[in-house]
Amino acid sequence: MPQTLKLSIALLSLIFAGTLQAQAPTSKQAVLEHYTDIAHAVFTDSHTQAEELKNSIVALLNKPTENTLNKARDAWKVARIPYQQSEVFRFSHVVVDDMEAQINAWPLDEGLIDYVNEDYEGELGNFGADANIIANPALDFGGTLIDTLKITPEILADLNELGGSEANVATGYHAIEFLLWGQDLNGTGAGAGERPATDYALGEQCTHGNCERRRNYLLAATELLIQNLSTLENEWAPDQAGNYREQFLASGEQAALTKVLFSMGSLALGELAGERMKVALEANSTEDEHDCFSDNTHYSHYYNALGIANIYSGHFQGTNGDWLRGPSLENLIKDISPTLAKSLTDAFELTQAKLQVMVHRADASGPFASKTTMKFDQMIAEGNSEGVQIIGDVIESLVAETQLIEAMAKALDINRLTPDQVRQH
Amino acid sequence: MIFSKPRNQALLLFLAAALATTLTYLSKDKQDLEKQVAREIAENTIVNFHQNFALSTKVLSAKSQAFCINPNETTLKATQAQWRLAMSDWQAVKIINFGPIKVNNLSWRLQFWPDKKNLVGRKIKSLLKSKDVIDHAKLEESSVVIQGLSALEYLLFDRTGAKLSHYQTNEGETRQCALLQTVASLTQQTAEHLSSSWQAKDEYLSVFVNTATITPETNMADIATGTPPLTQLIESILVNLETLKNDKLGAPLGLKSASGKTNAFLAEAWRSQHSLALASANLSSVRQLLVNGELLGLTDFLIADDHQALASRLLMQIDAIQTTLNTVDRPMAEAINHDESRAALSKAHTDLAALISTLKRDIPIAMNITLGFNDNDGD
Repeated sequence: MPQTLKLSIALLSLIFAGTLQAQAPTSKQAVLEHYTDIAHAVFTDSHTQAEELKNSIVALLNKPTENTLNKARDAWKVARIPYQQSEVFRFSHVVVDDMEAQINAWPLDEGLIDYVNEDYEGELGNFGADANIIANPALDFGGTLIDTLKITPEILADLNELGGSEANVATGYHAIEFLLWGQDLNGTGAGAGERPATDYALGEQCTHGNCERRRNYLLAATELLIQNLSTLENEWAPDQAGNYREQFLASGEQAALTKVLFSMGSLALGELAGERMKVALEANSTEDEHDCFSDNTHYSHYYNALGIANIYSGHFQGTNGDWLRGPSLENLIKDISPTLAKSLTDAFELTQAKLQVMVHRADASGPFASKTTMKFDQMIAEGNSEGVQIIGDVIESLVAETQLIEAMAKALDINRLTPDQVRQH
Repeated sequence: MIFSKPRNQALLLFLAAALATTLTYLSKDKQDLEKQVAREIAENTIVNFHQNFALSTKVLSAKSQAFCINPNETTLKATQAQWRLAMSDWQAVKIINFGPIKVNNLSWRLQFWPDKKNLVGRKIKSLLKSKDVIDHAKLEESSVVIQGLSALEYLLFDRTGAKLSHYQTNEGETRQCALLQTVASLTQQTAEHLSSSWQAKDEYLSVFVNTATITPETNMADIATGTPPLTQLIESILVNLETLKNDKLGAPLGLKSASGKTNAFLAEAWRSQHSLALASANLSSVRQLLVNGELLGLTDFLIADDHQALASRLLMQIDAIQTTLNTVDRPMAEAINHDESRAALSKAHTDLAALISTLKRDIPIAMNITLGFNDNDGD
């Protein structure tokens, strides 16, 4: 773009900004407070849906049939909707990220938890990869005996990251997912995990052994998830002395905004576009699929990205349909540069549109209604050019979105997108 | 003396003086100097990095062929030794994570790592068992994990997958040798492509040097202006050093996990037991890129901008880490469980954190630049 044109656009932006400022400029503090309101709403909703999940799991355990199992699976999928939108709070807030290992750790060596197929291979050098807690009331772990006779939320929390391997995931959504679906043995072909409901039957109906322990495990893991989400809900609750929300709001506007933007960009680029899509796509690796047991990955990605857009727009819609709206980054940026604000709005909309294509294609809905379903693990199959295109489009839009988040940082005078307190690897 | 580049001293003094009197936010002079420094780094160090890698992969491809014609201990050892050289040269090329290497994700096609789930081993075993034709076309459309140096390491070093007998039987001649030679020649082809992309002066090199700097007049929405060259270089070095610290040293040392349990399989080259030499090659390549030999480098840019102390600190930090790494005289798999070596590696890890902090905090302030997000920002 010629320099003169750039200058005139910049001038125009200033004039627009001037007229808007004549109305009511948005204050950074108001935006930050609303940000904490969204965090609180998202974790409250996640907590509520986890309680619903527990109810359906209790129903499954009371009467293990394909019907009750499917209802529990549906409840799990619903529970993921608010949680995936909460991940945008992970990367700058240690209080959230520390809990994440217990809530959403992934990928996992599922052989730690329960029976697996004979072709199963865990992470290299992970001695816990085939420990099978459900089948073993005591684990011999490198000479140390671990008592797992009683499976309680506390025991599971202790077993998480057993032996220091991040793949030893004993708890959280993905452990529960594995317990509801079982391994997906279809590779890049159609189909998810096919665990029978009788894995939870008592007496002679029990399949794959140790049903009593499996029942205890499923319930304990769900209870722990509820506890953890409740903790996070409280950390973000208003008017609670000494909680994280209070600390965050007192940390200074620029420092707090830096955290907000850093976490948005980190989820968009490094985590979602990188770890969760590009690795799986380029390596054609179903091991790197996010919701690999349930094949719900397309929705996980969709709601991850929506979580980022929520922070910009200041909008969040709960599972019950209610909207939360308030002072947003969008208002703040509009006051500085309406052009940039518009570019950001467009970028977030484009990302959701591209993810909507992924969702439609995965479920064979919308424009793909006449096709058969193509889940994320099929999209990443070698030679699937349609899948490559769909995933590639999402990655590209997330990269563009991240560049605009950087531009937003500059507009807000944030010169270093590394908050002082982020988790050190 | 760290900075002895007489040929450029006069120019530097002149520019420093000019900057001192007229320096405003990203003045014209500073932008011109940035362009010149970027051009000299690209034409000298970056081009050299790529030429070296193109050459060592070419020899590796030739040695793989010779090995397959006559598979014995000697030819295997010669091919393994050449893999180590190519892998060292790759440490340098890998730092330049922008430009041609981004197109078609060539970086992962040249090395797939970390590979915690042993995808390399699994995918190669299954390809060898299948009846699929093994040729360039097949590899290019296949998973990135069966291409490049990681696949070659498996084929040349794996305890079970690389047994000499696999290459000596009839079946081996047809499939395992075919795969080794095809991967080696595709690697060479990719390396040559990268090298020529950087040398064609009218193409990428010029884009790199001339990317506009964002100034207060830049329309913020017009992000196509991109990242100015020295910011781009600093970002790429930063990503590289973070990987060196977190993945190459931190992961095998157990510093990434809560329990602190060591895991030799998380080292970069556990199959070839070459991880430490690679870490050292990695760091020395970063240094070369900063200094740019006798030509103007990033450190010279800092000096011209009146940040002599910062430039010295940067290099002293690198040299101290290099010295520490050099004291470790056993392979990574042993070193992580040996008190003295482990202490040295932990110290290198800590010192790398300080070096990263210099690049992430002090340099952007000194140069008045903003660093963007990188792929390491995430989980």
